[in-house]
Amino acid sequence: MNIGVGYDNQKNSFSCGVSVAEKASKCFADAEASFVFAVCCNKHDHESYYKGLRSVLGDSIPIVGGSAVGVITKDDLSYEGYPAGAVVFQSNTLKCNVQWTSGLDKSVKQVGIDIAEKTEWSDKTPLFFFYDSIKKAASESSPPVMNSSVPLLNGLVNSLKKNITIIGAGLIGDFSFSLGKIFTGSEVVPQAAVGFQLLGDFEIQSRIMHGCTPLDGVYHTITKAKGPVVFEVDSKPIAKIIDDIYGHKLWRKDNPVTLVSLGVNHGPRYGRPEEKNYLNRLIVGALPNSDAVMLFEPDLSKGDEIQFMLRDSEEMIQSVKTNTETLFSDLTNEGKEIIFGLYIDCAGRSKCMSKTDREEAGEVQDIFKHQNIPLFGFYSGAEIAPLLNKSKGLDWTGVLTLFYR
Amino acid sequence: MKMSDISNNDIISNSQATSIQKQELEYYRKLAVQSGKKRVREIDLLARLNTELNETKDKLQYRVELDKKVAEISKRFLELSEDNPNYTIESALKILAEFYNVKHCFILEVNSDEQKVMINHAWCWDEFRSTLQPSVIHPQVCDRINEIFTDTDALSFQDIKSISDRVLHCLNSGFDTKTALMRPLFSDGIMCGFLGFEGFKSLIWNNEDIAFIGTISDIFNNAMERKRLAFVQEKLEEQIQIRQRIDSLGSLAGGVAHDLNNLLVSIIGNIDIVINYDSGIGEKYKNNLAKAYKSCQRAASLIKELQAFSKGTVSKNTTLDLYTIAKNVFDILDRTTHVFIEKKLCIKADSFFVHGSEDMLHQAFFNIGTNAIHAIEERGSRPDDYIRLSAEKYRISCADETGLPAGDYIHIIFEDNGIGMTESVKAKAFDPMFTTRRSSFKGQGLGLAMVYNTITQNHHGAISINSTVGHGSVFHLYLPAVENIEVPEENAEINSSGGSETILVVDDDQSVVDLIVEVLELYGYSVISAGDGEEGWQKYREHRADIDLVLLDLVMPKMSGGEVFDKIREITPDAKVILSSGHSENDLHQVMNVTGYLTKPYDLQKLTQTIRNALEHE
Repeated sequence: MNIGVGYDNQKNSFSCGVSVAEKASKCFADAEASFVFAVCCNKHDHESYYKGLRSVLGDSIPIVGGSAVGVITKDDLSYEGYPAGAVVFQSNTLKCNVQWTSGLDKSVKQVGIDIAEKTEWSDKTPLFFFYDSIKKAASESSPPVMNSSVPLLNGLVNSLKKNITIIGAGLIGDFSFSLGKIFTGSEVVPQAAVGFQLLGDFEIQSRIMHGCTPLDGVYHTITKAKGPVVFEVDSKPIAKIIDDIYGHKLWRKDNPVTLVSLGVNHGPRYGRPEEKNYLNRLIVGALPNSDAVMLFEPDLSKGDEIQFMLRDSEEMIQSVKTNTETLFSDLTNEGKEIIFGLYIDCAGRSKCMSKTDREEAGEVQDIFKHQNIPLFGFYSGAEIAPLLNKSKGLDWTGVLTLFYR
Repeated sequence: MKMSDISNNDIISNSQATSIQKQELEYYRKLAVQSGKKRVREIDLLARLNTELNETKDKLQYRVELDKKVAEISKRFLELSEDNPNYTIESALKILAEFYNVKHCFILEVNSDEQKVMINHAWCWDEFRSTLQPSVIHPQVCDRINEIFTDTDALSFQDIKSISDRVLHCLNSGFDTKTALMRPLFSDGIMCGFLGFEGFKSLIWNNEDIAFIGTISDIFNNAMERKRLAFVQEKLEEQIQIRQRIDSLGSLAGGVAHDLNNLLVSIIGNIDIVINYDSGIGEKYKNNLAKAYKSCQRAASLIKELQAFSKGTVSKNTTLDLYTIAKNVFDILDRTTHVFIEKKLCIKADSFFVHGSEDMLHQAFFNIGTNAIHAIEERGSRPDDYIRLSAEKYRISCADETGLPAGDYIHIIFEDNGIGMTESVKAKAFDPMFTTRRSSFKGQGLGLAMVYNTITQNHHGAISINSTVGHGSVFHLYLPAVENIEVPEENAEINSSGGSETILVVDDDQSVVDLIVEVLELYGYSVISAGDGEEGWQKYREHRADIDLVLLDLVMPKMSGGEVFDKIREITPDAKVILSSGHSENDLHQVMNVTGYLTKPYDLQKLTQTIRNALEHE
């Protein structure tokens, strides 16, 4: 199987699409591409970019993907300017099954159900699943309204007749949470979700990169919440508790809140904290004129026990390095040949959002560069990967998926 | 208290132990909470410092980028091609438009003379080029912009919108403009235009940008000033060339006038002889000759005017009848300009006298007159076109708008119904080099400047203009009035009788010599003649004892009249000498202490009278 990656950052969306497609398909000359996963930022006109890709790759090949804040490849990393990229698979034996549906703005759960029921999904390979994260764009007076991964995945997982690993992302096209688009394989559609499976002479394994650790280990109970909005913890306004943690109120202007998140420990209550046991929830922002906060996902409710989590950039970078190296060594020790890496990285982990000196994704790039293996990644809103044996919507994580033989 | 602090030997009850454990738990809990907070706060502080550092870095980097642009643009202007300055300006605009990713970058130039604000330089992306049209902003809008600039460094899109849609019209922005910025350009402290930007995407212009655009504006100012100076230099060079042509023409005219005068002396003299001394000629032919005589006098008058233009010297100050000067100027204008433009001279002879230089005032009136004629021609001639000169007595007893000291003045009103002047043109009308005419042959911008100098500096008067666009102009001249002191004519007493004295006639024009010899002999004189200065000097030495008077032409080959005169006076200090010339009177008066002057052409009466007066001069 040939896998080519293309990246460009030019302003003209159509030309950008042409350039990305040409770069990605360069390595397999005249052979017809089999499958494309492509993204572009929201500064681009998605339709023009899509047409640019099509003009090079032809009309029949499925092009799946959509909005992304930025693009990560082995050699490039950018969320500034007009980033766009694609990975093109070419194989005579590759089989792909692509299904999509729209209507996230009407019923998120139904979209999950529809995707599950559209086809007989295989349990031999993961189901890649991508959806439009933003239901309503952020405005000056309120944070954005998100399409929640919880009912979506519930709808999807519960309707799948088999236990299938789901890997994917909620897509966003910029840091200001404007409305995005989904490439469904054959169209450019808003408020949509797309699922696909790739079946070929390869296997797939993924790992979650964390970066959040318990702030102080103290357990708190949510005492008032509605949907994604948490009002009170331990019967105290949550924003006031966070004010106390920071020592100021400046954090309330951050969208999302960059240092503190909420975590649910699914591991031993008083054991050594293991990041793989934690489900973290990103705080999108403080609600204006209120002491409540809005979470990226609405899956925390009254009575849930949470811990305040600290997103420590150094630990995040260390986690990426360690996990990537471990995954690589595990597979190579088993005599596997890694042929491609897909890195779905939370936009909040980027250097500009983490306020770090270096890019966390740089650690992933370094390893792929060193091994000279194609890498395609992008910055997302929410990540989907199996946590504690169940596919969940995740925040603040990076999900590295390796294709190997 | 911690668990480790409790000794095994301590005797404690169960409830005490539970209480201690609770305290310990609370202690660790607080410790953990405080440690957590400390971590968050330290990381937060570091993150915010890091953000500030990055922002500062970005700002510095941006500033470096701006400095590079300044250097790049400056370099272009340092190498500014005088052949094509517009190209350099427009290529600099391109750099700016690309840098800010705006649709359109332009320079609006304020043309106060034409009351217009024009986009004279612009650059835009090819895709928008078709929408780019030369446009005009009403000057009132420009004035409003000017007012706003007293409070701010640059006009934002909202500012521009708030002033007038016409500005946006000018930018051809239409409805889709999202950003616009205009920065004024100044020349000698006066706003001469704007550097502007217009784009389809919203842009935030920060202080660095405004400062950068300010610097670029200064560069543009400098470039446009250089362009203006180059234009002035070009005009000066043109003017020098024209001046040289005029000087050449003047020399030529002076020479021609001299020769014509000599011919006229002969023609007039001979006609005089025939009319006065040939009794055989019939009355009819006498009339014909009288007409020819008058034509010769008119020709003489024309030659005098020609000399007045060609000479470089200025007449001395005397008491002058304004009528004489004005009449002369109006006569010339009448002959040399369109006959449909009526020349109305509304003053009478002997009414208004001033003390001054006839030549300078003549030239000043002539300049105002030609300016008036041009103002009419600029508009296109009409049957009711006119220029008019009138005057009145004007007394200043206390300070008024003329700024002149108290006294009696003559108020001269010189008006036309030409195109008129705008306020800005009026304000600059007396500036040297200012002209509204495109053709270099129609004016160099010095005419009214010279008038101003003549009236205010040389004649201690004042001048002002009233003008309305489309309705003509009125020049008000104020000159100190003087009483006419009757100066008796030098040769007022007619004394044209003959005599028996011996006269040496020296002239290089043989026809003149022949005529004078014939006339003087008719009047009873003995005449010795010479054809040039050398011969004249030689004959004087030979017949020194017999010669009572020398009639000496001024300009002659070999030895000039002036040199001969000096030599004669060396050996005979009281020798009587009359100087004669076909050149201007001024040339004659360069030679001092002669007994009399005779300006060619002269008639026989003037000749005989001057000779007689000189012979009787003590």
